[in-house]
Amino acid sequence: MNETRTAETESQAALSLVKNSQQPVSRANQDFRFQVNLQAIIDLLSNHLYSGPQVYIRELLQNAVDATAARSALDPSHKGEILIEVVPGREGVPSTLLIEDNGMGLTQEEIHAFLATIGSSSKRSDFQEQRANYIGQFGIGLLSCFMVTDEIVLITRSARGGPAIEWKGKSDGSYTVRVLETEHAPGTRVFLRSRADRADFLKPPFVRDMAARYGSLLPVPIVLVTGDRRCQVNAALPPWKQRYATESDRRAAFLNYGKRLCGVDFLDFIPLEMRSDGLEGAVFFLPHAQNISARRSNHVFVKGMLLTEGADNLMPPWAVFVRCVINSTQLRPTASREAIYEDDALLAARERLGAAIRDYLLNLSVKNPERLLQIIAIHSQAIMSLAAEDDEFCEVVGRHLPFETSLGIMSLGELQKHFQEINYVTGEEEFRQIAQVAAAQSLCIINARHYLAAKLLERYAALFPGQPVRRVTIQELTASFRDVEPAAQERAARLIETAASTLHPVNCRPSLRRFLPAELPVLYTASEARRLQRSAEQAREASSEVWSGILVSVFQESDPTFAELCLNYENPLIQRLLRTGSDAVARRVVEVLYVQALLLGQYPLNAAEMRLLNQALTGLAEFAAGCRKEGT
Amino acid sequence: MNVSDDRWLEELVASLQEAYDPGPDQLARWQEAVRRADASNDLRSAYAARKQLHRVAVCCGHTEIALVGFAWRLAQFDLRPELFEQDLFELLWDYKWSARSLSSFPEISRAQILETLDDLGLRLQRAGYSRRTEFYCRRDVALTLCDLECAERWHEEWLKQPRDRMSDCPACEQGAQVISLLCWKRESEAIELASPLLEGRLSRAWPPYGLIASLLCPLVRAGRTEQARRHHLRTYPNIADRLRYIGAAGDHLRYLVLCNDLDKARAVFERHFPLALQTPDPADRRGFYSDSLELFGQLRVHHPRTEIHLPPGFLATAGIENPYACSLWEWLSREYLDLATRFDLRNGNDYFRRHFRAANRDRLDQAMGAQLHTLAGQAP
Repeated sequence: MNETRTAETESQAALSLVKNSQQPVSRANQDFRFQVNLQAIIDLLSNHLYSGPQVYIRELLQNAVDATAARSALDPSHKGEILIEVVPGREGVPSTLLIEDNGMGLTQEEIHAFLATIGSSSKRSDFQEQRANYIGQFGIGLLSCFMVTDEIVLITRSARGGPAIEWKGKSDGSYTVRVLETEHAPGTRVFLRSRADRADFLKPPFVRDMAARYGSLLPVPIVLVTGDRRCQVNAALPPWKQRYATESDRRAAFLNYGKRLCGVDFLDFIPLEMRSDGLEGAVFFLPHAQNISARRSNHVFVKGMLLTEGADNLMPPWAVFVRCVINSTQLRPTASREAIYEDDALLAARERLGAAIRDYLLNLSVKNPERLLQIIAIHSQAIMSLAAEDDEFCEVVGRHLPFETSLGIMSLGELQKHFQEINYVTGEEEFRQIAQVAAAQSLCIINARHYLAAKLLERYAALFPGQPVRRVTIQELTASFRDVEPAAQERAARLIETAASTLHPVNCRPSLRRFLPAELPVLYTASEARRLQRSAEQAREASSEVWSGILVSVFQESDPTFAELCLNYENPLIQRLLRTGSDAVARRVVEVLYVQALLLGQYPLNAAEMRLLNQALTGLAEFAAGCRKEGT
Repeated sequence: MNVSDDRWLEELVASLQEAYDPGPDQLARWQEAVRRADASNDLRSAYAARKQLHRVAVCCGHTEIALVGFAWRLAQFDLRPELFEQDLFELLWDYKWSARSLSSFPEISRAQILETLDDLGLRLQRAGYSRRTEFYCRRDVALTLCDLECAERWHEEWLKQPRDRMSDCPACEQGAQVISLLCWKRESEAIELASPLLEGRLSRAWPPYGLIASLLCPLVRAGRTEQARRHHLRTYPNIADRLRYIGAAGDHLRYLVLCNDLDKARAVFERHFPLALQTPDPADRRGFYSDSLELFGQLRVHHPRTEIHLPPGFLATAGIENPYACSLWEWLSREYLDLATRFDLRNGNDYFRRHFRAANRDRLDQAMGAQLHTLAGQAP
C-alpha cells in the first residue's frame, strides 16, 4: 500500500512542477524554456530520492573527494585532504558546518555552469575521460544540502588559477556570485548554517558518525576539527588492506570488522581481492540460520563511498547465509546513490561473488572439514539450494548435508553408506503419518518436504547411478507392509466388507496388513490431494451456493480421492475384532478407530465424521448398557 | 468458541514477515497452523491462519490451496460478520485475486465465474468502493476467457472509474494495461507503456517478473534485443524453480527460442518441466506447454534426436518410448490440445485450438499422427 501513496505523491509533486513552471503566454510562435521550481525539486529529492537528510554529508564528501581526485590528476604529487568542522552558534544562532577540501576548486565560469544548472556535473564534461575516478555524476548532490539548510555558502579557488569566488545559493532558487579579493589556497569550502528544524543533523557527534560511516573506505583523509583537536575519522584501514603476522590475527581482524559494521558475531569469512573485477572486501557467514526467502542486506561501497547497507540484489538468490561488504570500482550507483544499477557489471559481480563462496566451501571440505560442517549445520537449506544446481558441489558438499529421516537425522553420505536404496517423501504431513511406522520396521524414509531437498536427491541420484534414489508415496509404503496370509485374509473378508461400507461415506477405504508397532491398531493415510479435498469439503459445508458450487467443480466432480485406513493384523484389538462375528460391533469399532486416527493426526472432523463419531459412541454405549445385543 | 492462546500464531506471523517472499516451507507451516487451529476449534486463529495461508499459497503458486482457504474465510465472514468485520478490506482484497484466478480451472464454468464477479461487485459496492475494481476484475477475467472484445469494453469502463483504496497500485494497474495491449497484439504501445516499469521508475510491492517476461519477445521483435537480453539475464534467476512463475519461465523459454538459442531454451525447459507437471494450475501448465512447443517444433525439424533430460519415471508414466525431442513434441502437442480443448469448451470459443493450428500449420501437414489432427481439428 505504501507504494500507492508514494507513487501518487510523486505524481502530485511532478504536477506541481509543471503548474509552477507555467508562465503567462502572450508571445505567439516563440520558444520557451522550462522553469524549475527548486523547492519542489528539493521536496522530490528529500522525500522520494534520498533515504533522509543525513545524505547531505555523503554528497558533500563526494564532491570533496572528486575535487581532490581531479587535482591529483593534474598534479600526481598532490595529497588530498578533507576537513570538517562544526562551529557552534551563539545566543540562539544555529551552528554552522564547514567542509573544506584542497581539491581542484572552480572558476567563475564553472560555478555558473555547474552549481547553478541542475543536473549538470563537472564530472561529466572536462574530466569525461577520467570519469571512472569520480563517484558523482548526476549534478544534483549539492541540492541535498537544502534538506538541512536554507543557504549554502561556497568559497572556491581553482587550482588552474584565478581569484577566489564566493557563491551563495538559496533554497528559493536564487544565487549570487562575488569575486573575493582576499587570498585563498586552491580548493573549496562549503558553509552550511543549520535550519532550526534540522539542528540535530549538524551536531558534531552526528556529523562525525555519518562521515565515518560514509567515508570509512575513502582514499582521502577526512579530518574532523573540534576546537584545537583534529581527528581523522577514516584512519583505520579495512582488514583486506592490512598485513598480519599470523592467520589468527587476520581472522580476528576480519571478524571484528564484520561485527563493527554489521553488529553480528560472524561464523567465518572469505576475503575478497578480485582486482580484475574491481572488487575488494569480504563475505561473512551468518552465525544463525536464515530463511531462504529472507531479505538480503549487504554493504556496498563504490570507489570508497558507502552506497548502501541494504543491497538485496548483489548476491545470487541462494546466498542468504552470508553478508557481504564490498568496495567496487565497477558497480554503478543509481541517481539516489543508495542502490546499485542493474547492469552487466552487477551481473558479473554477482557471478564472481557466488563463485567465490562456492569455491571457498569446496576448499573447506578438504582443508577444514570441521568448519564446513559447522556452516552446514546452520545453513543446510541455503547450501542445499546451491548443491541442487551444481554437480561438483553436490558431490563434494552434498554428502555432508543433513536430512530428517524416520531413523533420525542423517547425512546424505551416511545414507549412501548404510542403505542400498534411498527413499523419500515430499510432504511434511506424509512424513509425519509414516515416520513412526517406518521406524518400527527399520525403514529409512527421508523427509524431503522442501522442494530443494527433492531436487538435490535427484541430482545426487544422477551422480551415483548405482544407488537408486526414489520418491515414494505413502500409499506405496503401506502397500509394502506384509500381506496377510490368504487364509487369514479370507477370514477377515467380512470385517473388511463391513469396514468398507462404514467408511465409504467419508471417502475412506479399509485394508488389512501386518505392520509394526503392533500397538498401533490402524494407520490412516491420506494423499496430498485427499487432504486438500478434505479442506475443500470443510469449506463447502459453510459456503454460499456460488462458492460451494465452485469447490465441488474443482475438488469433487473431477476425481474423488480416497484415504486409506490400514488395519494392523498384528494388533490385539484387531485380532479380537476379527473374532467377534458381529457386524454391528465391527461397524462401531471401525467408526471409533477411524475417528481416533483422525484426531491423532490432528485432522478436524467434518460434519459426516461428527455424525460417524456420534453414531459410534451411542452404539457402543448401548452395547455397554445392554440396550442392544451384539449383532443387532 | 475457545479463547485463543494465539502466541504460536503470532510467532508464525513474525516468521512470515521475515520471509517477504515465502516458499514451500512456509506453506507447509501455515497448512499446519490451519490444521492446529481447526483441531482446537479456535475460530479466530483458524481465520487468521487462513488469511496468512492465502498469501503464502499465492506466492508459492498453489492457487487451489488459496481458493479453498478463501472460500472458508468468506463463509465464516458471512456467518459471523460481527466477529470478522475488521477484516472486510483484506477479505475483499483477497476476493479480487480469488475471483480473477477462477478461470485457471477449466472445471469451473463460465456461469460460475460470472456469478462470482457479480457477488464481488455487490460486496464492493456495499462496502462503499467505486466500480473500478469490479471492472478491473471483469476485464481480467474476459481476457483469460479469451473474449477479447468483451475485455476491451471492460478495459474502457475500468479506466473511467475513479481510483480508490481498493484499486491496485498505479504500477500494477499500468502493468495490467500493458498485458491488455499485449493480448490485443499492440506490442509497440505495450513496450512504450511498460517503460517506467522496465526501467524501475515506477515500482510496486512485487517485482514485475511476470510482466517483464511477457515483454521479452515483443522487445526482440521491436529490435531492442540488448534490452531484452538484460532483462532476461536479470530476472530469470529470480523466477527459476518457482511454481508461481512457471508462466514466466515459459516466456523466457519462448524468448530464447526467438533468439535461436535452442540449447539454453532446452535447459530452461528441462529445469521447469517437472514444475509444469506438478503445477496445480491447469492454465499455467497449458501456457508452459504452449511455449515449450515453440522449442520442440524447432528441435523436431532440425535436431529430432536431441535427447531431453526428463524427470525420473516420466517416460513410463507418459508412455513414451524415448526421450528424443520429436517424441516430446508429439506428447506435448497431445497434452496441450487436451488442455486447450477443455479450456475452449468452457470458454465457449476455439481460441487455444486455433492458436495451436496456426502455430503448427506446417508441422501438422507433415507426417503427424491422425490423433493430433483430430484433436486439433475439433474446433467448432
